[in-house]
Amino acid sequence: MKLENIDIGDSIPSFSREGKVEYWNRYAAVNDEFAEHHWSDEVAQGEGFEKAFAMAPLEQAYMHNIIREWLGDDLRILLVNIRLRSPFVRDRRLEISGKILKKSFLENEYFFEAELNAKDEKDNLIATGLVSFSYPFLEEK
Amino acid sequence: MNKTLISKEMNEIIGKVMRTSISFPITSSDIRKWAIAVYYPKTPPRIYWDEEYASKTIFGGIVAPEEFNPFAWATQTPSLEDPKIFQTAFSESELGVSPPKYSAFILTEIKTSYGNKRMFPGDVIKSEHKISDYFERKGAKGDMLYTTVTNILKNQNDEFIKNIDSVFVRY
Repeated sequence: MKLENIDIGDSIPSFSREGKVEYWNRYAAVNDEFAEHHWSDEVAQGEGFEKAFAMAPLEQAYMHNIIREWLGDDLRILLVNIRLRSPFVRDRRLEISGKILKKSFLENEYFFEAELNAKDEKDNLIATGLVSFSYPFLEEK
Repeated sequence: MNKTLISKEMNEIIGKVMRTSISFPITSSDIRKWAIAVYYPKTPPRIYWDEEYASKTIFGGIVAPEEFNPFAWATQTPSLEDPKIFQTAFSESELGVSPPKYSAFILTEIKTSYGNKRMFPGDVIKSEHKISDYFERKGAKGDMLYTTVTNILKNQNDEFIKNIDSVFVRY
């Protein structure tokens, strides 16, 4: 990828995941995160939500994934902020899109800042994100 | 005076270390499972699970994804035998202060900034949790108490790994 060709306003290739409890259970297992509203519709509804919903740290992990899948192993992530707007409920599909806000070049590294938006297929805004990351300068061969 | 959910005692614990944790040494198996979980059902990048591939990258070996949590399930400190005074992400009771009553406890925002050091197999990570802020808002569900918990992670060489500010709402 020619990073010098990435400009402010460019889109980041999107990232999507189904909202399945079988996916979330795996995250519950590695993060030891077993709040019942993440698998029980009844508990989630008792708290005022539509259905069981995903863990916020998993949604934040997805906001890392979108950048990592785009730029690969030499990426350096500097900051990932996520603000939850509405729950990512079971049986929906999450799609994260992003846009470059800032770009700079310093000491052989490109620095970028991007905004992210996570929505479901009903166009509900699930979360917004702000990420900053850098990437080594690659000379043309 | 307006009614507030933030007691004098709660204000007094802002900035105090609530919990210090020391992880067990990170294993490549911990990293592999984490990567599988956050990429599921897709195959995670090889740098998290393929030693031979990872040895040829700029890291020289397997590295943990930035958001990896080395404290899940069990830690060196506190040990499994220590009293469990909480079952949630944090509680004022860890500093001897009664938390406000609530029926829901939700994480609303996570702000993570990373240093230049990553987490690798063999690393032992130390973290300190502090309540760094309280604020209140009127919401659809009534009075809502927001609490920012700051968690700073460093490795065994006291090198900064990341700062996580988590904002929780209770109502």
